[in-house]
Amino acid sequence: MTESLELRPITFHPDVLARIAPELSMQRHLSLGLRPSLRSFEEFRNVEISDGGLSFASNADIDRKGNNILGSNVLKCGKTMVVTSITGGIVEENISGSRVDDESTESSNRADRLSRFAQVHPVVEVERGRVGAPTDEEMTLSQRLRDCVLHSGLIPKKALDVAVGIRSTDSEGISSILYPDEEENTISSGLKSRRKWSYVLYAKIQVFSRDGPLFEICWNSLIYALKTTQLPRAFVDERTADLKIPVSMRGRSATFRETFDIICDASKFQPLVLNEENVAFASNFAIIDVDPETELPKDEDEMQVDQGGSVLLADIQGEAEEASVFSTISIISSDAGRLKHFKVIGGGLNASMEHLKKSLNLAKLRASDLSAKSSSGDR
Amino acid sequence: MNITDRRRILGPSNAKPLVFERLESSEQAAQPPQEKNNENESMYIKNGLVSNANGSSYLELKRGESSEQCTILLSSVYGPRPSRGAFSSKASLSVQFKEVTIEKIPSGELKEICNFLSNIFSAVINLERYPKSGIDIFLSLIKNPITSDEANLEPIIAACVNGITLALADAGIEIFDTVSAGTYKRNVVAFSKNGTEVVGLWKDKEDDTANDILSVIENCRGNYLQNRKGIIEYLIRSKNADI
Repeated sequence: MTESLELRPITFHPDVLARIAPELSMQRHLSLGLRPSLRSFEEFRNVEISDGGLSFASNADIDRKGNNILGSNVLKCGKTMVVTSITGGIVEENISGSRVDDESTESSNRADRLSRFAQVHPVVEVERGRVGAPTDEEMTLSQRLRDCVLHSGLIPKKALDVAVGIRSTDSEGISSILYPDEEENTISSGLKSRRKWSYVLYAKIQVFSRDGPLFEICWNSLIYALKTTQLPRAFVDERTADLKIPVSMRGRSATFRETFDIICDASKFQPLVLNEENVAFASNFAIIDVDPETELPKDEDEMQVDQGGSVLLADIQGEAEEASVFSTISIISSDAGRLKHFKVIGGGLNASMEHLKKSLNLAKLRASDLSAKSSSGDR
Repeated sequence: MNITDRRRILGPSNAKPLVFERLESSEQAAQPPQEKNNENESMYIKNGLVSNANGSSYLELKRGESSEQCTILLSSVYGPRPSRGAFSSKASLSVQFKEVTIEKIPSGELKEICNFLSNIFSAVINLERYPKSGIDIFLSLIKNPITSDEANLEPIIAACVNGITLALADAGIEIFDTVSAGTYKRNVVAFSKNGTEVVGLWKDKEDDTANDILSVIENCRGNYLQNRKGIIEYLIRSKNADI
């Protein structure tokens, strides 16, 4: 007795197909000249930015008590939302007594290049509906952001130096703050040469609705946030400026250490000075082979894309793209075309020179588009 | 043992936080907005912003005209999703609260807020309908109007209750009623069933309305009805827009 076995083709909803067979879904879309996100191959997602009114310097008359956010950015790219807030700290730098002016010792040696630039300390958190330790992705992202900020030479170390002012109170009880760079006064110069402080920048990056690779989005948000960052003026009180506390260590070496309470001025700010020519924006690309086997039966009048085997996709988005793409290019470039970061993952495909050139050009275009946004967004 | 966090980039260990000078003028300016509580409060609601959660809601609460006194809360609901381990006939509920930008609420109070909220919503979600599953609620406070060091948590808790209700509705999780909360001075009361049932009551220790619990509830109810009206109007409007 034979049972008749009937085979019927199964049809799936596009979303379901993207989940169970991402590569098939991807190839079907590509053969139509589209991507699963319905963008064309070299189309980027739109980016919306705002400073979110989160930082204390973003509002003119905000009550600054308790708000220690120096700069902020809210970036929306497609569905993904990134909230970046920059906070700060002050760290005292160890300078040896002989070295008075560090500019004279500054060398143009390549190895010392990095010592002239400062870094930020980013912590990326991606909301994924779980609690617990940071994931590999979050740790990698934070580290990569830190390294790229340092190596791109975005923040000169000098920009983070604290020019410590002195608050003096006169006989009538009116206090005034004198800053060394504002007025030619000799009071603080003695203090300045002995002690040196600098700001430390922390970046807290919170990502919602993860939808594709995040490094580029986080980087762009971080750059926008750094551009809005304002550093408060800091001063020490006159009374504590000459305070000396003797500390003896087991009777062997008696050292005199002064401790200063550095207080930040809640009304005076200076924008963080970035190396403008090193401000760069990130974009990513994917190279994927178009498999003619998966093409749907063609109608004669359908638009045909002439495929040369592999295509370049800009701005990876969505499950299907992320899962089926193995060759990626990540570029940080300024609008003038200065490259700050370039990362290619071959992944079995040969990234041809043509693709690389094209991606570099697109990255440059994207960077000029994004940097235009920040200058218009400031207003 | 060295207990530094090696999973996050923490920066130099000798860094000190920024200490701001206290301005006398701003201290005076901070007082009045706390007094006139529920007046001119406006609420902006948007559901479904977090695409990889089952449901989410975005709440922006503005007090008066100024944009500074603004609370922004993003709540997302994940679940019901299968929970591993022993069989349970009811869904388990967890609430996580996080400050995304400024971290000012001490962790002990955060825990209290989470407990308070999960108690409310254990009573409100039809947990029996989701056996062997877990429902996780994540609250992200993006902007916090508190400017003084001493936290005034009540408006935030009320926003959390409203936000979770909206996110649950967005996720399509069965709830018995649209729960909402109202604040009065330093009390938060969460109501259901048109204000006839109290599902949660938060009372701050520094509250001066110690003995008059009934009038507190009465005052909160007015605020509750107003909030619930906003929520329901939004849900109806967004449903009509879908069709």
